Amino acid sequence: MANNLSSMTGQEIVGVGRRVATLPIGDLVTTASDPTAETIGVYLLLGDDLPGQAILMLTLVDALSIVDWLMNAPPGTTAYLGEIERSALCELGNVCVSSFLNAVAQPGWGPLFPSPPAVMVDMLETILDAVATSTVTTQDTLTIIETMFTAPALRHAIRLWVIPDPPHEYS
Amino acid sequence: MTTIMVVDDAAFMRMRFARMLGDQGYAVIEAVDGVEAVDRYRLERPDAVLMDLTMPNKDGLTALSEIYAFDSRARVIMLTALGQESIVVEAIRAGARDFLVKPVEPERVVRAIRRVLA
Repeated sequence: MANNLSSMTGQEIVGVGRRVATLPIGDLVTTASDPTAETIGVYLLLGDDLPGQAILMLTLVDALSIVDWLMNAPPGTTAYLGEIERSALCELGNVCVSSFLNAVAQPGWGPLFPSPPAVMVDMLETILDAVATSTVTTQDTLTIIETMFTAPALRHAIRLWVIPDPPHEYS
Repeated sequence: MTTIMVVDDAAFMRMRFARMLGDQGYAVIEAVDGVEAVDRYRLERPDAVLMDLTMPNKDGLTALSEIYAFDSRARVIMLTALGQESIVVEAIRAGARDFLVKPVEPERVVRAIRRVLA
């Protein structure tokens, strides 16, 4: 996954952490270090044999830098996320999540397709609220598969969360 | 002039490939999803197609199948971040001439286009 991000951006992006955590849905926002931070979330729905959600989260400042890289523009060029810039971030999320799906797909499973990506720009707590609300569950907890990436020019780590839907009791 | 149709719901990707292919001397037409891809192919009969897979309204595999149904000589190259074996097999069976997994170097895309046009 880090190699794919590096290839897309032309920057050395490395994976710096991976963890699986189960936490109460209500704690999703409180675990955020800065819930009011302006955040970009690239959101995809997952289905097929691995239903759930995926979201790539990064700060606005880092998102602007990444768009510069994707556009082969000088640092500081991108000051605003218009249609093309959001589309570039969507593609980043698409490649990230698709890389994850490609890696976890099992023999005998059907193909794993993510939805087309959507960009959210808001405070981190609002984005996490949307993720929590979208969870299809009768349980009180979420399992999050987290992968973190960084690059020398980024101020904060990029986080990819994959949140599988729990098994449905009634399905 | 040889015409390539770039099919991708991401405006960024369409822009990127249109620029790259234009620099290589190709005329480029664009489609934002599988619905437009089938319609534009029927009208304009591009020499080759770069087709994304995951798109709203109609996905790339469905569009590929529909195009192939009325033009079995269609030269469609799938260009997607989804590289699972089952998807590759399904695309080739549906008539794709090649399958490239994103991110992909521009040179590879150009070589793939030249191969299908040869």
